[in-house]
Amino acid sequence: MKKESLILLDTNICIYRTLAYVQPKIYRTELDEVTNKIDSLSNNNFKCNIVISNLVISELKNNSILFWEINNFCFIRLHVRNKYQVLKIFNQAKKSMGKFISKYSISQELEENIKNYPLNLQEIDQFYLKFPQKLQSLTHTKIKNISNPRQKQIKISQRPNDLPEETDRKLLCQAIEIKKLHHSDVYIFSCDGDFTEFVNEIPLEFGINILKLGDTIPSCGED
Amino acid sequence: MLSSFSFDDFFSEYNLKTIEDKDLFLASLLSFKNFNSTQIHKLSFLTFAEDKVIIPFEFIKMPHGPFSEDIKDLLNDFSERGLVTLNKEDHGTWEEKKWNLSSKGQQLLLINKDKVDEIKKKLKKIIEVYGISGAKALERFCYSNYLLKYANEKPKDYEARIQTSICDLQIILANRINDLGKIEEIDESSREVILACLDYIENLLNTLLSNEQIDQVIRGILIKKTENYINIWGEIICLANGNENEPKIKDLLKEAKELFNFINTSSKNYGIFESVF
Repeated sequence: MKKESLILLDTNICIYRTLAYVQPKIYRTELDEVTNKIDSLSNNNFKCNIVISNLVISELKNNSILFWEINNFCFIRLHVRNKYQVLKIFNQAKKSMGKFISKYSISQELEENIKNYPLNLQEIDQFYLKFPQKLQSLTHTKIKNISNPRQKQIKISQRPNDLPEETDRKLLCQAIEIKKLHHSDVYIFSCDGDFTEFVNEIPLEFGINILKLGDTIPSCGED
Repeated sequence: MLSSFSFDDFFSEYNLKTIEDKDLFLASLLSFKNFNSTQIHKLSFLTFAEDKVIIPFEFIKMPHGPFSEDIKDLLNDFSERGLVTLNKEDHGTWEEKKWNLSSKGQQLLLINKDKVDEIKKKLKKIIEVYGISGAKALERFCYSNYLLKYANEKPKDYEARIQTSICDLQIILANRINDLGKIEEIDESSREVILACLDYIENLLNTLLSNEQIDQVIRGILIKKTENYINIWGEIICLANGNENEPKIKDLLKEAKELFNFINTSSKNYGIFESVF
C-alpha cells in the first residue's frame, strides 16, 4: 500500500468501529480488526487519509438504517437473547458516532470537487451487470433474514436487476472521481459483498482497491 | 397508516420534565398555598407519578402512603433556615398544622424568579387537579391508584393482588407483540425497535413479578405506567387500520415515547432495571 492513500469507509465499517467502543465491551474480532486497521492506516507509517463520505454520513445519521444494521449485527453475530439490549447498544453507538464522523468526515472542498460523481453511475451499472449470477447470489444473501414479505419486496426493489444499492454504487462513483482528481491510490474499506465479492474486478476496471476484513495491510510502499 | 411515520416517531430519547433544585421545588410548591406535611409528600409524589416530572426525591411506602425521607429532611432544614413556619389553622372542630413560606422564603422565590416560574409551570397541573384535596383524600387516591397494601390487607393477599395485575399485563403484552407482528405496512426497522421496547417492558414486568423486595410505591408506579404503555400500543394498533387517524396516532406515539422514557428513567433511578439510554 502506498503512503498517503485515500481510504473511503463504507457504512458497515463505520458501524463496526463505533460498536468497538460500546461499553461493556463487545468481544468480536471483526470490531477489533476494524479499529486496528483504521489506527494503523492513519498512523505515521502510512499517513493514509481516511474519509467518510457524505453518502455514508447520511446513512449513519439515519436512525432507521443505523438501528437495522446494529439489530442484525446483534442477532446474527452476537446472538443477543433480549431484544431490548439492542436498544442499549444502539443508543451508545449513536452517542459515540458523532465524534467519529466529525473526525473523518469528508472535507467541503473534496465534496465540492467530486460533485459530478453521479456521471459515473452508468459505467458502474454496466460493470456490475457483467456478473448477473454473483449479483443474484448477493441479493439472495441480503434478503434471507427479512421475514416480512413486503419488506423483502422493498429490499429487492432497492436492487434493480440485482444491482448494489444506490448508495454503494454512488460510493464507488465518488471513489472514481477522487482517483481522477488526486492521482493517489484510493481504497474502499468495506465488508459488504457488493464490494468484497469484486476485489479483483473493481481494481481492474476502475483502479479502485477494495480493502476488506481479513486482509493484511501490505507494507508501506508496496502496491 | 403506520408506514407514514418515521423511525424517530416510534423511538427516540424524550426529554422528560425535570426539576433538579430541591429548595426551589419546595419553595415553589408552597408558593401556591400552604400545605400540611402529608399534602406536601403526596403532591410531590403525584408530580412524579402522575405528571411524570423527574424530581430529586425518592419515595417509599409508609403507613400514610408514599413518603420521602428527603422531603422530611428538607422541611426541617427549611424550618431551621427560617424559610418556613409551621402554623396552626383552626377549622372549628379540629386544628391543622400547615407550612407557610416566611418572608425569607418569599425572598428565595424572588431572587430565583425565572427558575421558580419554570418550576411552577411544571407543578401547575398537579396543583390544579389535586391541590384542593385534603391529606386523607390524597392518601386514598395514592393507595387505590398505585396498588399499595392496605393496613387491613394480609401481605400474601397484597402479593397475590400484585401478581395477578402483572400476569394480566403480561398476557395483554403478549397479544400486542403478536398483533404488531401481523401489521405488514410498517418498516421492518421500526417494527424491530417497537418490539425491542416491548421486550424491555416484558423484562421489567418479570423483575416486578419476581422481586417482592421492591418497595410498593415504585412497584405500583411501574405497574401502572407499563399498563398505560401497553394500552397506548393497543390503541395505536387499532387505529392503524383506519385511514384518517394520523393526527391521533401521532399524539399517541408521542405519549408512548414519553411513557417509555419515564418508565426507563424511574426503573434506573430506583435501581430496579437497567436503562437503555
